[in-house]
Parts: sequence; structure tokens; C-alpha cells
Amino acid sequence: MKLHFAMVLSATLTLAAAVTMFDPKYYAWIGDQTGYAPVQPIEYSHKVHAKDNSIPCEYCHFSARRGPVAGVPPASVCMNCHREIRKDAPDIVKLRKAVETGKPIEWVRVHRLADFVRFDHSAHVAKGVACQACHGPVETMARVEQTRHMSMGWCVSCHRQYTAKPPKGMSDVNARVECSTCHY
Amino acid sequence: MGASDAAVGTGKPGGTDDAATSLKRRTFLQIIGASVAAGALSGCRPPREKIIPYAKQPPELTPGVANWYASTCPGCSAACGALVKVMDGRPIKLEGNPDHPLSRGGLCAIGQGAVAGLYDPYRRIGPSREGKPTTWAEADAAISDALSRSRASKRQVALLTGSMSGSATAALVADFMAAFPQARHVIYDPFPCEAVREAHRRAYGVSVVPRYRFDQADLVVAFGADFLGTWLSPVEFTKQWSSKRAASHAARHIQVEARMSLTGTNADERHTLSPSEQADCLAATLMKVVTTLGAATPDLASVKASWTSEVQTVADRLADALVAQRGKRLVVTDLGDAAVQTLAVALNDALGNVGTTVDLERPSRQWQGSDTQLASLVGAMQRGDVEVLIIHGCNPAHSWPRGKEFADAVAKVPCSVATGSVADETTRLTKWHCPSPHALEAWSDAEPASGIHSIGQPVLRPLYRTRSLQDSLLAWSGKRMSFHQYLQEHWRTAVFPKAAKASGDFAAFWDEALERGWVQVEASPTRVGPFRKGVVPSALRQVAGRTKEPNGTEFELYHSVALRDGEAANNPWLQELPDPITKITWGNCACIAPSLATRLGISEGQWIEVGAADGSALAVPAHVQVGQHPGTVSIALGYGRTEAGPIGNGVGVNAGHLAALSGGMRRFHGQARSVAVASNRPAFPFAKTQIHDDLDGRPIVGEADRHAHGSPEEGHDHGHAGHEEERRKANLWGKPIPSDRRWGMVIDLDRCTGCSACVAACDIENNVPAVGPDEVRRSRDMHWMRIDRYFEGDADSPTVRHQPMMCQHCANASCESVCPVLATVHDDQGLNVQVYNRCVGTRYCANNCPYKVRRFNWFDNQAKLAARRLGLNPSVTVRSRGVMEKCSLCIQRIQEARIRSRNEGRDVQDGEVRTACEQSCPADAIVFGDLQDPNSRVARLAKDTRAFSALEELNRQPAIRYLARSKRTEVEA
Repeated sequence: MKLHFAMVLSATLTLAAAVTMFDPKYYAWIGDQTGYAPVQPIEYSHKVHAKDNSIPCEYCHFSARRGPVAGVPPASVCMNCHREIRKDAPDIVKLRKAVETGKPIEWVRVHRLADFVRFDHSAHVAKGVACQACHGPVETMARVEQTRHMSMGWCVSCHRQYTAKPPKGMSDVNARVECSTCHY
Repeated sequence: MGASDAAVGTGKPGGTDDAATSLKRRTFLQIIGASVAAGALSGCRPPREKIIPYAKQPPELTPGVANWYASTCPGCSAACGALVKVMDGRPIKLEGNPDHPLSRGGLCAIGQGAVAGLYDPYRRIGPSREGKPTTWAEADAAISDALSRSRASKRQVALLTGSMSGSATAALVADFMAAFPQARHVIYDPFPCEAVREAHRRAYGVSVVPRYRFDQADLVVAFGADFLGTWLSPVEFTKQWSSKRAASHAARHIQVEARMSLTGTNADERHTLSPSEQADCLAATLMKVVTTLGAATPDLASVKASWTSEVQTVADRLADALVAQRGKRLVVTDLGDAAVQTLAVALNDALGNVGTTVDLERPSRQWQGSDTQLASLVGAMQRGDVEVLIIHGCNPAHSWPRGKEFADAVAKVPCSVATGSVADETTRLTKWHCPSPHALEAWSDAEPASGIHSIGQPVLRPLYRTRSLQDSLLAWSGKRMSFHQYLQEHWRTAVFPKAAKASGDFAAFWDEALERGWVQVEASPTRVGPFRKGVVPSALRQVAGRTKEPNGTEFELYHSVALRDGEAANNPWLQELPDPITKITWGNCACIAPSLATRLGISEGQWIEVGAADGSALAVPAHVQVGQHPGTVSIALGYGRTEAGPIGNGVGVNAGHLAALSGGMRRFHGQARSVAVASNRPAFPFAKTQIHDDLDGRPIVGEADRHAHGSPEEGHDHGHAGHEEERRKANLWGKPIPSDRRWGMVIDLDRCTGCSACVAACDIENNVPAVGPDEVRRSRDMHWMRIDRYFEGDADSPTVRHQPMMCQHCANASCESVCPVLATVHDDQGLNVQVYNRCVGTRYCANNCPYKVRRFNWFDNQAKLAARRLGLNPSVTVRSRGVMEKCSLCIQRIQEARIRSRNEGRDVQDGEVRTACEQSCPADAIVFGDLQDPNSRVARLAKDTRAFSALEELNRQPAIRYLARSKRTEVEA
């Protein structure tokens, strides 16, 4: 009896999976993390920093222009300002402790690409692609949330559009859509 | 990278499907259905991953961007210059330092594999006492106590190490020794060089290993010395000799040897003689040369020749060639016998080589080991004279011929300490094991040649609770300073004043030295006395007077290119690196000539028993090797480890005990008392990567006449006579789609020696896994790059051709036509790319590839062990089971250069992208670049008259072009 139930259940699920995977309307849904906004160890608000106080993205994410990884800033960067500003707030104390002890803050990753995808921030930043193009209006977020698909079709459509009709201020885009652009 | 360690160790494939095969079909389908559903559901939930930035980020560090540090290769005593690639704080690759005066950018397979030792999961994580973990404080207290006891009792303190050429280390050791009334420092190397030093002591009064200058020589005659493969400083010698040969077509090389060595396969002329005949031949050559030059003394003429006419014929030929050569000459031999070495010294002296090709004034400082000293130390230990024994950087329990005697002697020492970073046969014997860090975790120094000082700098904090020997010596002698401070202090007082720019400030000098990895300073030349002619007749008489067994069989022990002394036996990549000649992986063998095999009825893989004169015997599987001397059995050392770790234990057999101790020195050859088939033991299935050795007349490896350079008509034989022109033009694909670039490579087969450094470099760069011997036997090895080796001609003196083979990146690619899912396609850079995430594993592409360069992941071959994963190259995707892979022409390096150049608003420069194989090649045989750019080096070379493509008649239009190897012709005499 149990075996019978297992069979029916697995058959149903297999069918459901098959429908999902082979209907183009749905297959992008698999692995789509849009709306993912995990709780972070520190309630850091991009709205306060990037919008209200107009701190440029690259002040903290200074690696974005230099290499493939934009990087979460080291706690010492936070302390550049927070040595003075709101220095006794509980979250800031956490940061100070991190710098003092050398034990870093463990943030939860929001935007994640598969292991077989190579994305280089510097290439995009150097061409003038706005951070918001991929990460959404981060400057309005109190807690960072994924707002874009980040599926391959989404990447490729932008590469095609920008190459065909470069946005203002961008020239010689020539964004490749070869497999080897991202997969190697 | 990372073999599934446990699986490799047991010889089992990376995973088994036993469970699946025993299931009923229905149950199987249920499980599959449920798992698909589970997979779909789990796709909805984000995997929770962390981002952990630095609390305080070092300013020089950018995540995802590699930092390079100059250092010294820890692989062997040659101490080549190395650059360490450090990504996100983890060293992931060693490359040759192009700026280094000796190795000039080359790095051998051992050096390439050294980084894997850092992530060896079987390293010691802290000190231990009799195998039980202990603390550094406890170990220090006990050892310091024993040291003070020895001071009181006036018993010996012995430091037994491998060669440590660094001047600061030497000074530190001297300081340490000076504190004890009875102290001795004994140097022991797995590779003995004492006979060379002894011969120079006898002849010139200086006990040195000269610096041999192959780049100065127009004719090299080598007796057994495998100078391109394993002898002394192979990377340095390969750099020298390949550049010399490329510059001058007149540079010639004659090899006299018993086994088919890597060097022998590259010689212009090769003679096979057994080791004892080589000694005779050297003597005969010397006599003939001095007679011809009219320098023979009556003393010399009185020596009676006792050698065979065959030896005399070879000697006459060599003497004629040496005398006829108008340029500079060089004679080298690796025979571990002071008398024989003296003859080589005399020959070099008679030919006026000293000061030109043999540099005695600024000698090599590598390989300072002394077997006689170790023999005397063992005696002292047996008598109970030694209170404290500290062993570092050598493994006599494995490589010393009388390992058992050594072990018993160590047991008699009250306080024995070993400092190896891994457990080995020797560390098991000692009471204390105070592990050193890996060389990439500690400060060190080296002086490979007189006046060339090299620094080894740590590139990460020690992963485990380890301390370097130098730091330990400082601690045990009660000095409160680190070796880093000691090293700087020593350089300030001893090295800096000799430097040309000594007027400046030391801090700047030190920083510059660190940045470059080495400095060259004025070294006072060694005082070389006049040649003492008197040593020659006695040496001659000694060699000539030896009893000869006319039809006896001899044995010869050698170091293999892949493992050498076997110190890195626990490194799966080196175990799986095919021997350049036999193509055997995972083990050693006894090489025997086809004629001997026929005579004794031995077939491939059959176990034979080789008995030495002193009664010791060894059972070893036989490999029938063309080009082998018919009366000599050659066996590689360094195998048969018992305490190397799960990967290296029990791989091959240890032939070390066959070596005889003559006059306290190891001799790696001797008369075989017996060579017989070991009955009732099934033949050993060698794990070979190439099982067909013959070209069968096929036009795969081109050969050109060396002297016909620049004349397109004559010259090379591509061998496609008989292939009609139409067939060559036949094309299924139509015109190739134009691309922005066409990345390609030119491989000069005349320079390539087959040393396999490129194979190891590729493995480490591209996360290529090792799969273990069973899988290699199934031809499932994963090497992206292999070196095909072909034998031609008769079995006694075959011609050998090496051809590096990897994905040819064909314009008309056979693989692309058959892939049902477009997982292998051409991109706009002219590359044939493999898209792992598209691949469904049909293997059609591999079946359709005429070059057989595609590799399929039958299992998840990557390491499950966390330590190994630390060493993966993060720029290259780790391939999973069921996916095809192959050479990408290091696309990660191309992409990195493309992005960098685009960010800077320029084009990629020629030479900006160097593939891993090209970078490591000690012979500079590989050139990479854009074939479409007419000014690139690669495009110019591709137009050379020697250029050809492999299997040209198939019209695949490969992006890899080869330059034909020159025909090896006899040296003019």
C-alpha cells in the first residue's frame, strides 16, 4: 500500500516537473530568486546610505571597478564614518568589534549565479553599466532584495540590446553573446 | 583539481553504481521520479550562502584578482625561480620566474606539482611524540633539555638534512652547531653528487659541483647523465641547451647510456652501453683523446685496456667527434664513482673546457649531500654516541640502501626529532615529529649557484600548527627571534655589502630582492688549483682494472622524470603524470631490452626478480623497452613508499636497497647476480596512457632536415605524399565563419624534449583531476594535454619523437558537427569551446575527434576533501560527472586579458596571454598568440618552412601548428 502511494506521488511530481521544465512560460521560474531578501546579521539600509546620504555605490563596493568581484566592504570601511556617526548603536558596535577582533561579519548572499557562470563586474562598470541595471533600485531598499531574474536569457537580451543600440554615454559596446563569454 | 583521494588510494573509480544495478527497474524509476521532483522543488528555495569579507582588507588585495609573489621553487635542490599565484589569499599555482638567471621562466613537473603539497590532506597538523599529538611547548622543553644534556655529557648533536644552499640557513646552522661541543651537520640527498665533488677535489683541490654551461657548448657528450630530465638542474640545462640548439644548428649532442632516457631521446647520436661499459668507454675516450692531442704521458700509455672491442669502437667515435669539433665541448657523466668522475674531469681538462663550459670559479651550490658522512653518522648512532638527532628534508629510511640499519640506529638515539611537513618513513622512526610548514608558508633562502641568492617567501599563514626548521633551531638555541628577522639581518651583513648597489639603503635593497625573488652579488671566485695530472693514471687503472663479467647482466637505478626521489609520492598528479618514455603512470617497472625479454621469455608486465651482488633481491614488473641496452635492467627509484600517505603508499616497488655502498657512496648500478622470471605471479597491468608506440608510416609528426632551414622546397617530409590534393581540399563545412581573432599555437618539435612540465602545468591550472590507475587502464585519464611519443626504426636504436597533443581547435571541427545539443561550438575568438552546462554527455564529439583529445567525466572526479578544494583554480569551472571536457587554450587567461585590455581601452597585445603550458615550458617550445594578426610571433612562426599540422590530410584546419623536428643525424667526426 505504501509502495503504491509512493508510486502515485512520484509519478505526479515527475509529471509536474516535466511540465514545468518544458513549458517555456515556466522553466525560467526554476531557480528564479526574484524577491529573495534574507535577513542580514546587521540591519544595513542601502536607502539610508545610498539615497538619503548620497554615498556612491563604489565608495563601499570599491572592488567592482578593479576586478570580477564587487565585494561586500570590509568592516573597516564602515568605520571610516561610523567611528564618529552613531557609534554606540548596537549594529555599529558589532562592526567595531569585527574590526577590533578581526572576526568578519558573515553576510548572507543575495545575488548568486551558478558555478558555471563567470561574471566580471569590472567589465560592466568600465563600460558604464549602472549597478541598478542588474541589482535593481538598491538605493531604495532597506533590506536588499533580488529584483531581477538573473537568468541567461535576461543577460543575453541586455547584451543584444546594448550592442544594437548603445545607451547614452556608451560606445563600442560590442557585448558578446558567445557561450565562451560567460561559460568556461 | 583534486582526485577523489580515497578512491585513488584504493585504486577504485571515483564512485560506484552498484546500488543502481542491483535495483529492479520499477523501483529505479520510482527513485528517479522522486529525485527529479525533489530537485524541482529544491530549485524554488535559495541555497543559503555567505559572503565573508575581511574585517580589515589588506590594501594589495582585490577579491577575484590574483597577486603574484616571487619565491623559490621548493621542488628540489636546483631551487629554480618561481612566481606564486595567490588568489583570494590562497596560492593556487607556481610558475617559472622569467627573470630568474638560471631557470629563466621554466618550471618542471615537480615544481608545478609542489603547490598540491600545500593542500595535501595528509599533512601533519601539529607536533607529535611517538605518534601521539603533543604541544610545541612540551616538544621544545624536551628537546632543549636533551640538547643541554648533550652539552654536559659531550655526546653528539647531529643535524641530518637535505641540501640547504641558502647562506642565511647555512649561517644559522653553523650558529646552532657552534653551541655544542660535539655537533655535526650531515647533508644527505636522494640524488648523490658526492663523486663529482670528490673528483674535482682530487683534480683541482676544490670540492665543488661545477656549474655546467650547456649554452656555451657546441658538442655535448653525456655518459648516462639525463641532464634534460633529472640530472642536477634539468630546467636550467634545458633552457640553456634548447636556446643553444635553436641559435646554432651546429650544436650537437651524443648520448651514451644504458636506458632510454629523456635526454637520450633528444640526442643527435645515441650509443647504448651498460653502466660499467660507460666507465670503460670514458676511459678509452680519454686515452684516445689525449693520444690524438699528443698529450699522453708514458704513465698513461702504460694503462692496459681491458674493455671490449665494442666499447673501443664507441670510444674511437666519441674521441674523433670531440677532437674534430672546433667549438667548445662538454663531457658529463652521472656515474656515482669518484674514479669515473675523475676521468670525465680529465677529459674536460684535456679539451680545455674548464672556464668555458665547466665553471669552477662560480660553481653550483646544489646537491651538497655526502653519503660517506651519513654512513659515518649511522655508525656513530649505532655506537650510541649521538644524544640528539634532528632530521630535516630527507628520507633516508626510504632511500638509503640500508634502510633497516638506519632505522635501528635511530632507535638508539635518546632524542630523535624529525621535521618533515608530511609523515614519511623517517618521521615514523623518530620520537618527536615537529612538522615544518609547507615551503609556501615559511621563509627560506637558497643559493643555487655561487653569487645567486634567492628568497623563498611565505604567501600565506601556516594552515596548521607548524614551525620551520630554521625557526625551531632558533627556538632550541634559546634565541628570541624569528627566522624572518635572522634572514634579514644576515642579508644586511653578508649579502647586501657585496651587491653592486650597496651604497643605497638596505630596506630598499631588501624590498627589491623580495619583489624579484633573487639577487646576484659579487661572489669571490673559488680558488682553483692547477690540474693535477697525477690523478689520472690511478683513476684509469682503477676503472680499467675492474673485473668484468663478459656476459653478465647489470642493473641500473635512476630517478624518474615524474617523481624523482619520490618525496612527492602522495601527489596524485605526479603519480598520474606519464613517464615520458614508457608512458607508464602509477608505478615503476624494470625496463628490459626486447632481446633480453626474448632470451629470458619475459613478456610485458611479468614480474621478474633482480638480484644484486650483495644478495639483496627485488621483484618488479618488467617493461619491454626499445632502445634499452640488452644487458642492463633499469629500475626507477622513489617508488614503493610505505608511509607516504594513502595516495603514494604501495605504488610501485622500492629499488633503493639494490644500490651498493662502495667506499661509503651509493652506487646506482652494479652486476645483477640474477635476472629471472618470478613464477606464479600474474602479470602486472601497467596503467599506460599510450599503448601504441608506432607511427606506422603515418604523417603525424613531421621531421625536417636540420641543415635545410629556410629552403621551402627541400627540407621537411610532412609525409603526405600519396594523399591526393583533392582529398585534402575536401570540406564538409564550407567556408569558416570569420572571427575577430584566431587564437592558436605553434609548437616547435625541435625544441620540445618531452619533459612533460606542460602536462603538469595544465593539470594544476585547469583543475584537471587525477583518476587513479584503474581508470587510466580503462583509458579514462583526464589530461587535457598529453605528449605522444613514437618509436621508429629498429628496436636497438630507435628514433623517438615527442609530440605534445591537445585540442587542435580546428576551424573545420569534427566534434561540432556531431554534438546534438550544440555544447561544442566555435566562438568569435576562433576557439572551439566546450560549454559544460549544455553538455549532456553523448560522447559523440570524442568519438568523432581525429586527435582523440576529448576527455569524459565518468565520475565526479573532484576531491571531496576540503583541503584539496582550497587548491582549485577559481577561474575554471569544476566539471561534474557526465560532462565532456578538453583543452580550452586557457580561455580563462584569454578572457582575463580581454577584459583588462577593454577596460583600458586597448587591444590585447601579442604575448599578453600566455597559456599554462607555454609558461612552464623549459625549452620554450610553445608559442601562443593570434594567428590572424600578421605581426604576432605565432603567425610568423606558422609561416616557417618547417610548419605543419597534425593529420593535415583531414583538412581540419587546426589552430595548433607544429614545427617539424630536425632529423637526428650522426655527429660529424
